[in-house]
Amino acid sequence: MGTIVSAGATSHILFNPAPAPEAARRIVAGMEESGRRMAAARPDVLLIISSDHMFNINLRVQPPFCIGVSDRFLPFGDMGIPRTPFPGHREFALSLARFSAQQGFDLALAEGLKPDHGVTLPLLFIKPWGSVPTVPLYVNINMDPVPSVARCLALAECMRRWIATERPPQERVAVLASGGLSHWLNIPGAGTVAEEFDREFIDRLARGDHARYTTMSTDDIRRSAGNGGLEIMNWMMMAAMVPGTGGEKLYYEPMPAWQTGMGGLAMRL
Amino acid sequence: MDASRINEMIQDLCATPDGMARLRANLDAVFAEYGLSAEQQAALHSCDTLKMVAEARVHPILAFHYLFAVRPEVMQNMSLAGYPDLLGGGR
Repeated sequence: MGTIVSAGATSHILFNPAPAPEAARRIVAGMEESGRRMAAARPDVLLIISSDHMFNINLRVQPPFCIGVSDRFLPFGDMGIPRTPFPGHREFALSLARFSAQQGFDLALAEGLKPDHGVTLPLLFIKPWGSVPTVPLYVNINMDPVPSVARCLALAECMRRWIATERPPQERVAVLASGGLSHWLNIPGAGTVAEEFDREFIDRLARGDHARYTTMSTDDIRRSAGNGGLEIMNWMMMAAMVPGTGGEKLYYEPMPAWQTGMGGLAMRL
Repeated sequence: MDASRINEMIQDLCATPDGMARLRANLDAVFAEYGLSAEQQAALHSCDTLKMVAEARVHPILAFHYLFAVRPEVMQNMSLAGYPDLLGGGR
């Protein structure tokens, strides 16, 4: 059986720091701490649960869930992120897809992904670059209908079981949720940050109590945290993979200048 | 309003440097090629992403793709340009 040795979550953008330099500094420090903790757990592989920003998965083909199957990924390079290749883990990804298929989850396989900032920005903080083979799992929050919270959590439980029962002994797995927190992307409400919602969300996950969110509908999330706030489902999936576990808030900053709440969390395992 | 063509246009042209250059060279010609309505064209010309989504039914993320293609200077604010330490690829 494999072991989840690290689990956490982080927002995945960094914009111009000038409007709020001190807050931006604290965010970077939080991201650095997130990456430091993940690297310190010495994982053999990183499963990163994120969303694609329609650089790979757009309206032409819209899988609800998609997994990156490759020995090596080349970053898309958006946000100025260097296009330095990093290793994937083909066997890990294929094994997960095969197990999931037997459990009622037909993950779309993608061999030619060029991961965007949703994957590559958090990786910038796990140093040195490319030191941990990485498997991106995409939750498609950009399609309509989006996968439900219940479906996401069921997939998370499936992945937890797969690691616990199917992976090789001594395999050390890190799980990182990427995205969020509240943001209204190019819809009415744009620029709003639901600070109270964000803070309560992180605090509850840190207390190991995310039950109140598991019954939310995706419309509930849109109302409370915006269309981009659907990325909190990635956080909930990460938390569901380490049930009964709390953690520590690494950072939170409401950033109206960036039109989002920025946060990070590390689970105590 | 059918939004399939406007979103298709953005997906076709805003993902590559060549496509973006073609778009920037003659917006109106490209809009005509994709058969966009006057309302859709006006929304795109405004470069107001909220308007693009509300009035032309551009996908919210594709609205950013379009904006970055025709106003690349906007991308400067939404990039790591202010974090030179990170630009070495995390090394």
